[in-house]
Amino acid sequence: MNVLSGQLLDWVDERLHVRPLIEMARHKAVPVHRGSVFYYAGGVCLFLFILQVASGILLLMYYRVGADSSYESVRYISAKVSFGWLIRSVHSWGANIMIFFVLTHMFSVFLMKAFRNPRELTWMSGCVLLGLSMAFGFSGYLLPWNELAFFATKVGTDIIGQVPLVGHWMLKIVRGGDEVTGATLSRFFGLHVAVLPALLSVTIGLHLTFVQIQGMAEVREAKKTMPFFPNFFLRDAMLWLVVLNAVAILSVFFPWELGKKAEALSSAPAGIKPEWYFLSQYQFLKLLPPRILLIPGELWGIMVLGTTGGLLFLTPFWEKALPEERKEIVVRLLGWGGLAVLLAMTLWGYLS
Amino acid sequence: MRRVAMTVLLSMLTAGPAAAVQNQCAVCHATLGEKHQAILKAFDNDIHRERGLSCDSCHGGNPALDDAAAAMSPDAGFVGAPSKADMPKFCGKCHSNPAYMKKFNPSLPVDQELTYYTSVHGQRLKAGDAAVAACADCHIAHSIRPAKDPTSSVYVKNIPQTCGKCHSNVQLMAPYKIPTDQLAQYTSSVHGKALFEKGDTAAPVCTTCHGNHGAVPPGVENIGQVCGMCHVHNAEFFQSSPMAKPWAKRKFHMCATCHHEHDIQHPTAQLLSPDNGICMKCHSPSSPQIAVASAMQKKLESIEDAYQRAQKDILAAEEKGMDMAEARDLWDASRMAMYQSKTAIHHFSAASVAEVADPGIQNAEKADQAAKDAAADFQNRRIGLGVASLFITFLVVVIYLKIKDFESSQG
Repeated sequence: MNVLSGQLLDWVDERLHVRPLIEMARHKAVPVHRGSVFYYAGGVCLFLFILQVASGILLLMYYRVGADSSYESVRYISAKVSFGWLIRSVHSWGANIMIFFVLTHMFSVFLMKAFRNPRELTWMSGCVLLGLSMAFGFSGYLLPWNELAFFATKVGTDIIGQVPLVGHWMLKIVRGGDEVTGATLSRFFGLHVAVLPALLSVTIGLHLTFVQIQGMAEVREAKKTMPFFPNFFLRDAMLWLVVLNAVAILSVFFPWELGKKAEALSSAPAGIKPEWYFLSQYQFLKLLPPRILLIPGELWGIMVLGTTGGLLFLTPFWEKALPEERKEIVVRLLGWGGLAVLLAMTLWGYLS
Repeated sequence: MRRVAMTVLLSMLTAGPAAAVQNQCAVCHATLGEKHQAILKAFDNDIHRERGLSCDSCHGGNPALDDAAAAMSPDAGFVGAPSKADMPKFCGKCHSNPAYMKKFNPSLPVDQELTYYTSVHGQRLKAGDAAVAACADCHIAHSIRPAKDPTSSVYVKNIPQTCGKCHSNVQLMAPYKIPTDQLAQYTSSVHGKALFEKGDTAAPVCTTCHGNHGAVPPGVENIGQVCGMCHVHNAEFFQSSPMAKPWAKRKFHMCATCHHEHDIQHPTAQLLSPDNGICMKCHSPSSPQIAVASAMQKKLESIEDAYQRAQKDILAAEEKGMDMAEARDLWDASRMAMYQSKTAIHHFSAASVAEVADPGIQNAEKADQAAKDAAADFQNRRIGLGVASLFITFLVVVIYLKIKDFESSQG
């Protein structure tokens, strides 16, 4: 058996030169310290992305995009297709859990200051991945063409229209017209199944390449390391299995509801809210007065949110410019403070 | 304080669109005691004032003159407050004038005065009875609001109380020898509950059946027409049934004979019971008509029972998170059939009821079966999840042991 696998490896190496990669993997090590558990968050994101691709492909076999067919096909998937209900629920729950782990991964990297030189590109590609994951969530939410999705998309895309000068033009591009219609659905579908997967795959590839080149960030208190293969990898696999089981349990006991079909002429259902990962931003926009210094409150909100996103993306650069003695406290304050604000606003948005 | 309040009130009244000059009516009448002050205060919210009319628009006179005698002289066109007998004509000055009314509301009818005199109220007023209702009794003089305004005395939800103000007054109604329990009966009826409890403003109120300005009690010959305005099929089926002719001959109320007038209750299958049903009022227990009623009752009970069973099982399956959209479609169809079966009763034919009810029963049974299948499927899902969880746990344990094994050998 060993002889056979050795021969197979020789055959592959002769053609693809994989031995240097295997050597690199053999020497790859993971720092061990009290925060090591957060290293698994990135792996879980990757696993959930694979799960999303797999379940998404299965859903595509029956999903038919269109204002007259989207809702009906999702209903057909849930009610008639064997295990269709499971695949749909796995896809919906998987998306939410993936965003949760992406955020966990980002905050842990921020607080461990793993964005510092020379890992700026890893951090920035990670920020792009967060943005793409949220775009995935937003575009996918509309695809069942149900009442909640319709009005949430209407409210969500309305915000784009507030951008000065180009807002209306951007709104028309996103919606495929002035209103949320079947044209919006087609665009979101194209975005969700073609554009975003391509962008996300390439960015994940870059992100992982950066991680492999730079290795995991050294943490001051890390006194020892653990081999990546097989020690860390098998632990990763264990967690992936646990997450898979959690997704399955949620899908069986809390299958994703479909609700009523979207009706453009009906009034918006009471208490309509976006998905939880947009709730904090939504709540923030809701709190703003109609006008601040003659400028619409929502515009201020977009500027604040845009600036926050920009600053997050450029963290490695502004943090570097801080005085040495203040770096630690500023990062801690922003990390924990940002997390607290995000949680509080999300909770407020959920309860209000 | 009171002086300040009156000053504010006066300034509001005199600042209206029609008050280009100071309204002397308001200035003087504000000093004439509480009754007059109340009128001035009420008028501030009146639709006529909102549309730019003022005291003199109805009562005549010259509000620009501060000499009361001159302002309220016949020369100034003063007509004062109308007597009850003159009231329809008084309001009709404007409300019967299409050219004038068009300036304010082109869609408002201008036949109120005309139709009022066709009503029992109008005919009695003409005959000299000043106790009957005229315009201001229902529309409340000086605080008139449009009918679509929820604060209006003639807003759909307030109509029963407005009519009941007089028609529930035993003393007032005694000379006419008419009952005074209509409001109480209506309130507990299916229509009253829809209006007051469910807030359904499409529910019929007094004026829906009796008319408003031309209010009359519907006669025996047209009561079916009145109910049939809304209950179209019930009336149509009844008219084509074998019951129509004998009932007309005996001068039975087409609908009210079985359903009553003001205290109409939600009809149940029990109404057809061969033991104590409404049919027993006329038919003997052994008659073929009672056999038909009994067959219709059984069919109605069957569909109601099947519908409720399906509803219970669908809700139970939905609580488990199962998708019941298709079962709900079937259940909705059975609900429609249930309502249609109740309507089909008015054919007075067991076969006609069965024709509608049977497909409904089948749909309800299919929906119920789908719900039961879903509940069983949920059980299978749980078993499948249990097996998968066991397998995953097994894999996790194997990996864990493997890690322990080689980490101990790695030292």
